[in-house]
Amino acid sequence: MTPARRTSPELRMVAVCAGSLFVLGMVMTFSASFVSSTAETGDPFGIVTRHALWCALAVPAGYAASRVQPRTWRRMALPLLAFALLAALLVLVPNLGVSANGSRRWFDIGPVTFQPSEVVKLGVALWSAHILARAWPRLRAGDVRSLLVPVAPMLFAAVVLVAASPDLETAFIVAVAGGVPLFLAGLPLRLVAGGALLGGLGMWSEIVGREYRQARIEAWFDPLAYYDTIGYQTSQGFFALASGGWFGVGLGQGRGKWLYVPNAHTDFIFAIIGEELGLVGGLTVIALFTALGVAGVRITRRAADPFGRLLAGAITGWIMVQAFTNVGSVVGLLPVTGVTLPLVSFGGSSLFVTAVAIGMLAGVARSLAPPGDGEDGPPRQLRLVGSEEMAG
Amino acid sequence: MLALYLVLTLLLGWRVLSVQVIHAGQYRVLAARQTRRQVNLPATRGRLYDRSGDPLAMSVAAATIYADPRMITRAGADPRRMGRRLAPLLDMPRPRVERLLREDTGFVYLGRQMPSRVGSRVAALELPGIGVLEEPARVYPAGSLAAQVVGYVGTDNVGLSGMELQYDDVLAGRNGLLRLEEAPGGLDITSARREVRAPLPGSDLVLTLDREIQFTTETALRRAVDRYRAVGGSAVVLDARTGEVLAMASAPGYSPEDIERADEYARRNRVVTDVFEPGSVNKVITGSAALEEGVVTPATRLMVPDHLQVADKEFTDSHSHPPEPMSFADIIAESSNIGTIKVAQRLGQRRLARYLRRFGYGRPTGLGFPGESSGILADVSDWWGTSLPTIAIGQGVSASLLQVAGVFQTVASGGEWVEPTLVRGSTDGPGRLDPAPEPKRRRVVSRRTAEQMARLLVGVVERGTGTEAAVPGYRVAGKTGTAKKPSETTRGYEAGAYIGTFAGFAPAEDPDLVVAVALDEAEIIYGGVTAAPVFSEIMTFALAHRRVEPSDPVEAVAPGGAWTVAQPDG
Repeated sequence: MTPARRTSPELRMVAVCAGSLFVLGMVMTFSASFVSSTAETGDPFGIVTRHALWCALAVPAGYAASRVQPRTWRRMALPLLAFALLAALLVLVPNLGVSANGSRRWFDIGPVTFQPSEVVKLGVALWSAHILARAWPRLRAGDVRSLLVPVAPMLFAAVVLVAASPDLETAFIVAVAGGVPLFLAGLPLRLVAGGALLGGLGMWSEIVGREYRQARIEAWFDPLAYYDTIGYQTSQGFFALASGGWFGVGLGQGRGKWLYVPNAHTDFIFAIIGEELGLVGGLTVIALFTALGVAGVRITRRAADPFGRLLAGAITGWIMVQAFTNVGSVVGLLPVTGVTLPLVSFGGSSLFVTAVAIGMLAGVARSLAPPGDGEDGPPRQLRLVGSEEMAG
Repeated sequence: MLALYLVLTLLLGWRVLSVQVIHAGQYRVLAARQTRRQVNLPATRGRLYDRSGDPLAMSVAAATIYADPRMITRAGADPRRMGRRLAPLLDMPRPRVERLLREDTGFVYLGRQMPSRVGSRVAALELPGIGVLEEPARVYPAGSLAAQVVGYVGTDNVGLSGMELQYDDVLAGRNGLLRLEEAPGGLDITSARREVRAPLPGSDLVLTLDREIQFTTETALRRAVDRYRAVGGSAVVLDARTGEVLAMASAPGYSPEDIERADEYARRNRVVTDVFEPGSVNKVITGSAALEEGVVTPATRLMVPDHLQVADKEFTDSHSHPPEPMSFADIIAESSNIGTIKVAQRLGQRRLARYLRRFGYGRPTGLGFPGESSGILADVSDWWGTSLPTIAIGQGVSASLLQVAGVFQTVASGGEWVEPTLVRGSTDGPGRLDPAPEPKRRRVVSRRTAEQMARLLVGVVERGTGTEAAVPGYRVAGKTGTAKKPSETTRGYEAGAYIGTFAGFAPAEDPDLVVAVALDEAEIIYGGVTAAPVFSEIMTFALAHRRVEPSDPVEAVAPGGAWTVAQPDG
């Protein structure tokens, strides 16, 4: 993130945290991928090069998103959502979508793959915020019907569509991205509880209905007992983390990425961070996300208009929950999931969409500060922090 | 909401701390275990050479190929396709390779000790879960030559028989170790530290065997076994002065490549592992004892009938004849049982037993060969009425052919028994030899007695039962034997089963070589007919090979010459 003209502490925090995570992601993606990249393509830089290309697209896109007027986003909300849902529907068609690990989640477009469910998250967040902000006066008047229609049915449809791929974890995050605006717009707690219950039941039936999910849950409690099969990934994650100890085995020195930890540069990059940079590195990542979250919550609270508020809340909720889910599944707090660590993991669609979302959050943050305050703010300081992070 | 998130974050932090630090121990151990590999660096096994440095056994570089089928599964590789590529290299049927690749295990051999070039071609395929190790293979350049003496090793290069077993600790050396870390698929983790302990090669052994004499011995034995339709035959050649074993063989033998198909009988070094009742060759002990104790001289005459009743048993000579006066020299030359028994009766049980032991019966030879037998010699307190006459003519007592050869070596070297040896020394490089310890020596009879007995044994070859053993140009001393084989199922002897023997030395005036030959159940039973020609063949070659000066032919016919037989009549 380049320094903004009008900066607030929140904006700076978002920029610093996101920037640090980006840089860390670049470094760790290379460290975690050079073995598997060599094994697959013969080129140790193959994967990190693609990651860097996506970063080169994502960072300007995020910056642009932070500069665009909110009304431009609002105009784009419906087309984006429509596009995302159509793509999410088409990806289910067997000959169009690419499947891996039992799920059909990707489009293969030339050199890159594209995952519609990532765009659904942004589409849902943006569109829900837009619709609810438009209905704001009625909502203030306690119009529950305006609150629920059309956001709730649309959200339900989006969640079901993503869950059908099947990708329950991302569906959950989509639900968060749409649910947070609903909650902020005054959804009664009993309805939130009801929705959660309904969602829980839906998930339960999904879990019971799909054998591979059930097995994942069992392996969650005792990964070593399922070492040869579904406990393998968690076990290898634990091995890597435990090998790291307090301060890690050193950047590039880890053993886990030597084809032991599956998805080392994507879903399980946190295990590699823990192994090479130790508990210190792992806690730093958690701290960065927490700081991002705190900044996001403060932006949400202090947003100048309902749209900004709802959007900031949706994006913050989504990124926090996704980060928590990812790290939680690596350290065994949750069963193994297929979600990436936002901004850090390799994964083009995720990286790009997350960067745009962070940019929007920054855009909302920019509108917090009164005009004139912090003009010609301290870019020096930002650069300093940025370079420190890079040195670390 | 924020509070809830912070609580969850704390939970997350706690969990990270727990996995990375608090409960890290077992995970760390398992993590280390899965990457660490110990590669055994096999030590090169020492070679076995014959006495002039020709290799009899050596180790060559070879490749052992293995698979980790679980890793193949994890890598998502297709065993069918892998099998198709590996089968022609391994020279195995494809379905069999495929079956091995599908086994539910972490390790399976695909081929052991294959040629190195096969190993490098398999490695070049870079298939997941397929590994190549260097594991030397033992080869025997001389083939079946001296196979029973040299012995063989198992696939893990540990000696299982013969010299390979007896000197395993000398030959084996100490294996080295390479510690490294590996990724699945055998990828070397380059950032990990490597630790190497170099292997310590084994020492080479130089044997006393002489390749040429060994070859001749084996050929002569094989031919005799065929010609006389014998079950088998054994022979041993000793250096008369040093006790070194120059050749040691049994037919049928085996080829090291076909060791699996060879039966136990063919694998045994029967010269030392098998014992037999030596028969008339034992008369050398009885006779030497009688001469040493002064109960007879070569000229002593005894009245010898062709049968004699002792206790409950009647002894006979092999050919019937009227009672006749015979000199002691004739008794030995004609191999008269009754004459020998009469001499033994003058000697008595106690003294005969003592000489049998001194000549090496009933105790190990000191060779230490694996599976060596000491034979059976009953303690004199356990002898009964017929023991003395029975043992005097070589029945009721058993010895290995090497022990029998030792008796003749004793006579040949002037009455001194020398421990037989198979090892000249060890070497750790060309030209250097760390000699084996000096063999033990033991005075058994006086030089005078030994020389008298030698003269009597020349008579056996020149005018007695052993004329077939003669070697043109050399004076040969020796003794025939034809002994009944004890039954394996009942008390007493096997009907029609005999072991024909001939043992002796040459040249008689300054003995250089001792040869003993035994044929097991030959169609013609007499050792003088079957074993003596084999003796002659071996001795003829060995004397020439060792460039031993021929006996002086003028001396040989000169009357009253030092080495002519004392004529009983003149």
